[in-house]
Amino acid sequence: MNAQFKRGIIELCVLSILVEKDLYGYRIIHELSEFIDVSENTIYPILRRLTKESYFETYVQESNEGAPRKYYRMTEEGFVYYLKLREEWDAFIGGVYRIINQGGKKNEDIFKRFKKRFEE
Amino acid sequence: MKTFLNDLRNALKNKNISAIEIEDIIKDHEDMIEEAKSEGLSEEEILTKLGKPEEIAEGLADFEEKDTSTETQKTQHILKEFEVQSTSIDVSVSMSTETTEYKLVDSKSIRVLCRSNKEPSGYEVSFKNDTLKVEAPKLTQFLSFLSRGKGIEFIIEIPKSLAINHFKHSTLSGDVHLDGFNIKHLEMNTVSGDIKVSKLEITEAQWYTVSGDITLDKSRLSSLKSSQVSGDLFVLSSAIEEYIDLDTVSGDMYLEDSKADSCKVNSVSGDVRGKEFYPNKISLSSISGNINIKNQEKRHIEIISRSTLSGSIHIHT
Repeated sequence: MNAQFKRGIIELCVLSILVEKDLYGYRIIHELSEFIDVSENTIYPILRRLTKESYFETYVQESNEGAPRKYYRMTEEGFVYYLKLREEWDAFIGGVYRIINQGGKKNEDIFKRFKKRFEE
Repeated sequence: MKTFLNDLRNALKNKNISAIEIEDIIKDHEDMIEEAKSEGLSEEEILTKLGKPEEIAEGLADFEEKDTSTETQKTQHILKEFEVQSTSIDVSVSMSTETTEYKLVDSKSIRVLCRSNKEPSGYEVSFKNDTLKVEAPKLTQFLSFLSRGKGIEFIIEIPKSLAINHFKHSTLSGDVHLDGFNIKHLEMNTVSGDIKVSKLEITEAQWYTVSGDITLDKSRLSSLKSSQVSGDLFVLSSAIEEYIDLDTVSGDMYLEDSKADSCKVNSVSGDVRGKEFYPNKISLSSISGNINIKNQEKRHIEIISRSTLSGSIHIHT
């Protein structure tokens, strides 16, 4: 997949996770990689960039398991940005689905039509 | 693991990222390695999870603080220049993250300049029907938000001789500066960008911001409607002939060395602090927001209405 495109989607995924709760870096990466195939080297820079742009802020909290953890918390600006990205994504992906489902969702039907045209 | 961290450090250095940022990034990675270890991941698994140091550095390089010694110089581009025949114009500008500065000039033409590292692209600049229009690349398409205008500065030069009817500037996170203009209707919207205006003559001003701060300095207005969520507002050495309407959720408002006929405050928890602020009339509607005014001179300020849960109005002279 195109790297920039992928980055945009991951940005939205990171925002979607942090809109619900504060989390520390490792956990964010873990939660994302459970569903999509990404590694830390894609997610970490995005976390850092969004923090620099004041969409997230960080704070340190003691943990029971060892060293204190750096948590990321979404700011109001981050929330506004999240809404915006989400809207863009919905509009974009909605359009994509309309295009790819023009001929229905069944591959057999599409194949039948294609085959027929091919034979003509 | 030592090798990984060392490689990462070197990769970041190669990208000219500043020492402070490098330490911060290394610390974050040490933390993540510790977390992974405590979850029982093997060294090999951790390294796969972390990815290649060069790729991490690559992903960080385009926005981290650089060692200034090697920073590329911004260059100035003239995007467009327009000869103006008429005596009054409209201005409509829509930016995303670009800083914008409006300047009055002696020349007869409008110029739109841009300072950036790279050649700016995707901007629509036009002057038709006496309206100057500048539009940053649209953010409505999903992919386009990736090409942000971070670090781009716009300078818009407008001839002194021109009167401005309608002036509209909207922006997401870019700041805007406006100095010395004569405007009939001023309208500004920002999400997080700051607004700084000074020495203006305005008939009607209206602005809206989510978290940006607004400063109005040394200006004369007929009326002002200011609406903010969490950004702060500063009104300094200004005169408002008619009314000033202040709407805020949690942002505070500071009014200093200024006067108005009436001042209406609508606030959730934001406070108004006045110093040498002389409105004739004042009204407050708030949950917990207060109005506190400290004046040297004793002038009557009529309290028109007060509807508040725990807020109060204090006027000290």
